[in-house]
Amino acid sequence: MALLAGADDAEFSFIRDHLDVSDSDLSKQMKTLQEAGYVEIRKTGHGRNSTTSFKITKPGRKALTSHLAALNELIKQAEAATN
Amino acid sequence: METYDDGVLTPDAIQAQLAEAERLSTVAWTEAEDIPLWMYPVAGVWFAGVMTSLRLMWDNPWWVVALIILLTMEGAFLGWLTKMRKANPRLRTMPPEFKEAVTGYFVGLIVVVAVTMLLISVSPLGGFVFGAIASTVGFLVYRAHWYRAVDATRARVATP
Repeated sequence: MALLAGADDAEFSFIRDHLDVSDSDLSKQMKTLQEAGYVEIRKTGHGRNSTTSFKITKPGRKALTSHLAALNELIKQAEAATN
Repeated sequence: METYDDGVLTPDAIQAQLAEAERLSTVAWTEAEDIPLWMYPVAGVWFAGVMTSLRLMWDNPWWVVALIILLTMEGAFLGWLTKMRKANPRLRTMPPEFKEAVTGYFVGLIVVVAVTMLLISVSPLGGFVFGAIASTVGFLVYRAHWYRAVDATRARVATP
């Protein structure tokens, strides 16, 4: 999700190579994200020339921002607890 | 991933997640593949061609044909570039390190267009040659600034 947030769109192979995950793991995760409405999937071409690309949606961007804000909040609380 | 006994992430593990999210959000910018160097002068000549066609079509509408051909070439180039890069950086989430390069690009673009258009009015060939050279130099300066920004961004988001 963070990778997609920095891009207008990204191809399957680009995401797989930079996340260092297998094809099947990425497919499953992207399907889950698509079902949640966080990612749009676009397929172009046929056969060997086909490409699948992904684009983060507005709800996806919002969810990512909330998630990162929650993580930052946890860090703040942990720091406050130790001080 | 480091967790407490109850499965809750430790602060270090959360920091690592945040750092990884930050790094991944810059990947489309830092890992965009460069075009071959010979394409820069070609792009310079193309850009000068667009400006010359734009300026000369005021006097002779047939220059529209040249403009359409050049814009079709651009469409084909952008299609190829998108396929080659596999990810398109999003301008609105640009890492701060790239701001100087991108702002400089647009300022340079305005200056080159203005001067070239003026020169074409005086001498179409002279303006075209100036536009081609100035655009090529401008693209190469932009490329140098871009890769400086790539290095700075990579250094900032690098995980120890």
